[in-house]
Amino acid sequence: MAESTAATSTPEIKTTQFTGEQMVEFGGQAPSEALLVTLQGLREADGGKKAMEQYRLGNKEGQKLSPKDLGKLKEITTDENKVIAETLGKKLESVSIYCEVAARIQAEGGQASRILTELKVDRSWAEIKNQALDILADTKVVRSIYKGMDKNQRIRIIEEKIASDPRFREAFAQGAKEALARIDSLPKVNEPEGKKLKEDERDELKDKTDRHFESLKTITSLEDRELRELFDQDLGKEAVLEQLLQQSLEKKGVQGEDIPRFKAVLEQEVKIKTTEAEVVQIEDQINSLQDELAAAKSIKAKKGKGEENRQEEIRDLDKRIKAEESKKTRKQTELDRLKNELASLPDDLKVKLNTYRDLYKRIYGKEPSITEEEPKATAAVPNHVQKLIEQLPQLKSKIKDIKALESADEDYQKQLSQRELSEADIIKQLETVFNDSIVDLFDKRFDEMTELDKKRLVKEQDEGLKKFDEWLEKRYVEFDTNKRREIHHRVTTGEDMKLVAWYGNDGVKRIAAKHLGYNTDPSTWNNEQKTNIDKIFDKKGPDIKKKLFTSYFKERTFIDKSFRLRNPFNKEFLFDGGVGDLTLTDAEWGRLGEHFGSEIEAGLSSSREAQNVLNGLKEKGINPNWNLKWLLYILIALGVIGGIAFIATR
Amino acid sequence: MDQNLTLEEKKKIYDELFDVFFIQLKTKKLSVEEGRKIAGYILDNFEPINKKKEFFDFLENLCKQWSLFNNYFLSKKGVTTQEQDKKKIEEITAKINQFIN
Repeated sequence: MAESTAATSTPEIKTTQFTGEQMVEFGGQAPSEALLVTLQGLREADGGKKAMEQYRLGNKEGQKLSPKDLGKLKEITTDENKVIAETLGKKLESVSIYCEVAARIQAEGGQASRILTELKVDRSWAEIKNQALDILADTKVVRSIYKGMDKNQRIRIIEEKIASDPRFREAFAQGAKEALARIDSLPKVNEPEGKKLKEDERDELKDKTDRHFESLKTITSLEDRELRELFDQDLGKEAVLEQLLQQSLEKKGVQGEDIPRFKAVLEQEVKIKTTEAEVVQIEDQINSLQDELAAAKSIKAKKGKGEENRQEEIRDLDKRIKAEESKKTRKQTELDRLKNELASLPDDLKVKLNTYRDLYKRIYGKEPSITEEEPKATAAVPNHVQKLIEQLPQLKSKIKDIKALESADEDYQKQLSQRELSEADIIKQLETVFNDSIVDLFDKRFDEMTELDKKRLVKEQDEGLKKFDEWLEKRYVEFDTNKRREIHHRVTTGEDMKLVAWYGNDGVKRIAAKHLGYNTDPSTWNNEQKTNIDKIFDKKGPDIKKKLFTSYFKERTFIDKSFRLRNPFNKEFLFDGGVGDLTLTDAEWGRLGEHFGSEIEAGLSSSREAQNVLNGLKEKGINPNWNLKWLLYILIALGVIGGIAFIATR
Repeated sequence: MDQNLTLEEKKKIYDELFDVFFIQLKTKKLSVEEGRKIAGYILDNFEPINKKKEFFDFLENLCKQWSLFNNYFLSKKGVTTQEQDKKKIEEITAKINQFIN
């Protein structure tokens, strides 16, 4: 118990309160709305102690995506983005639920199906798990880090080492929440009022008129454009029908001047029919007279006046029959002449006449006639024409209305396009979450490993070695605690990796020489310099290698990060040098293997998972290259796969 | 002189301490990690405390690390002084009454 009491001392004020601006500057993670609501709820229900306990345990709400979070994707409404957002929503949901259920199974035991029921998830565990693992195993960073492993092996690593890690879940959920929160601030796009209804009506009318035009096209052989131009003239029904016939005839090579010739033929046909009827009528008359004559002749001869009358009747009938027969002969001659004339018409005129008859019948529903002044149409065509005459003005009116509405809100299309772009950007950000959350997890593990190393490190009494520790600490990945800023010295890391690759432990000595300010060429070192270098090498050689190798891994991993998301662990990143500065050639990788092969093999032999990977590759006839072995070795060091690395470091 | 803290008093103190740093969280003057450290410190160090004097020692150490509790500390200290003064006045009044009677 402290001697001082509350009544006698005033506490020293140490500034730990930051303004909002400072929080951003320091990269501190401000509490999310979800966290605040949860804490408030706990405080009200169970009091401050319980709220603090839950808060200390971790922000469980912050480690998963709620239906409310995912529901925001429904606000993605533009055509192009909507479908992508739905698919992405399923993926995000799968990963979030999979991680939550996997973590609960690990912590509490029990069946996934029971937890899913409790979470009110109506999808099957197999579907969720397969989709989630598939997504994570195919991220750029996992494919790049676990190069050489097949998908099943990558999936197992994710199941055992990544998905169950609360830091991954938090990075994933926070990243997704951050991107989803942007949806709330998307600019609203106000469609002109009533436009949708008018557009629906327009579409319906357009469908109808299109169908009418389609039918007319089939019947008349006119093209769509020609038909529409005809209807654009605002003619009456009869005029449209006449035009349809005329244009269709022209299309088939029948000209306007042919029409009077058709009329003449038609008149002649009428005459033939009339004459034929007259001939038949005369024949009927002759037959009737002959019947009367036969009857008169069949009566027995009478005496006196009666016989005279009978003979007179017979003579009269003979006379009348002859007159009728003469009449019939004249009519028949006339009929033959007419028919001959018709038969001798030119062939092209006959073809054209048939075309005329055919089109006329298709358009008007009956044979052409010269008797009717205004033909009364009976076919389907007039119905289509009538509908088009009624509907086309309505359609034009709707289009006009819609244009008026669009011009009433000139910004509509502009706003829509802006919204589409913003939505697409949010989707892109969400798509990076899967990958970047894993990068962030590796980053966190690296930091924790560094922290552990610091604690394990025996405080150097020797001033020279103490300075060396401080120098090495900042050489490759430098972290400024106050500013929470991390600097990746890619140029230095790349240079030192090359030194160690080419010269092995002599390369490590050359790094020590750099610290001491000596030339890196050993031939220039005098005895005193050699002693100083050896002292560092003997005491710190393994530390240099470990720091260099793990830093190199970390810096390489960050090449796969998109940096679209705020770092969930409150850090800002700076890079000294480009990606190319970290590139090692195949020859350099080979040399690294030659120098450190046995050391790495010893480390790998401690890892069951590493051995499984290596054996799996060998079974497939692949000789694991040095790069892969080195990578596995680093992954063991970071705890990403099981085993003990750097066992001989101190 | 030491007085024991009752369960109700401890509960009230937990609530008050939570409220102090929750306001800071809400106004984004405190980061999530820093808030978590504070919650951890309070839970680890206040839970074993049963006496008021120990509570003030704890509070003083808390203020040394996080100044956001200064006002709370001062207000608690003020309330306690007032309570002590009131008690002394009551004792003196009782003695005077005893003497008079």
